[in-house]
Amino acid sequence: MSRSEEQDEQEILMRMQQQMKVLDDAYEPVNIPSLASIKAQVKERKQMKRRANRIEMILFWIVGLFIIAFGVLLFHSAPALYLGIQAISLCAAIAVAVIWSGRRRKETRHE
Amino acid sequence: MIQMEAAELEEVQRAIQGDDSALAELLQRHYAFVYKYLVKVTMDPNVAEETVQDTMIRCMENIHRYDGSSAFSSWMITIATRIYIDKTRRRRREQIWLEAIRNQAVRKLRWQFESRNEEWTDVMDAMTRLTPEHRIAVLLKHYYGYGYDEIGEMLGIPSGTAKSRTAYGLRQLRKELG
Repeated sequence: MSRSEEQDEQEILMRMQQQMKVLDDAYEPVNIPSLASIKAQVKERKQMKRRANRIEMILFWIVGLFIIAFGVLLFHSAPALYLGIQAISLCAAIAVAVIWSGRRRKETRHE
Repeated sequence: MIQMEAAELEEVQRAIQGDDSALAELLQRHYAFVYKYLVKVTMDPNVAEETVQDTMIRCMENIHRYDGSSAFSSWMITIATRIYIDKTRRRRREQIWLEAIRNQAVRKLRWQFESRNEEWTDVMDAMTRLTPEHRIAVLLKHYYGYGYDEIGEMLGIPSGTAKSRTAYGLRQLRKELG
């Protein structure tokens, strides 16, 4: 970058900073919530989160138990099918991981 | 970079440990700062208002994830930025409609600005024409004084990308104002 271009850039940055300062001063939030209302909201959010976590945990255990019971049943009745499903799942998981990391790398390069 | 004072650090620690009053005080104290940041990022006071409220809620839900490595205000504007970027990405399919809304918001901002006897300069015009990603990078670097590593962390992108976005944003500004 040449010296004049650098000066240009500095001038633009200075003007931008001045304008943004004006914008800062011109816009004050009209309704900042009161301390009491934020506190009430914090409490409400905590309760909601606790409830959601409890439900999530219960669902997790129910689904987990179902899967384990199904796996045990399948292993005893059709071991070959059980092992086949395990192998296919493993391959699918590896394929998804490879595709996902490839896409992520590509996105980072394009940004 | 914005540094955190010892008193605030102590308040933050109390908030992380579950003190609702400390968290409420922190959020209320930073409300105006985040709002003003969002006005500059969105160039739309209504979207800024909506996003600052979403940011408050996200901060309440995720306070236990705040590790104190950056100032509390930086953590809040990181969350605010990500919420805004998510919103704009989700609406990308409705781009034409969104463009019309954005133009209307800029016109409204200009009208409000001028009605306060402030001059709407070509710099403001040029800033509104930058994409949100480039405007955010320019603001964080050249108005708030963050480093490229910090901007990268805030936006979840490599620091090289943060640098190129800032440079591109500046180039656009120069082109518009040249």
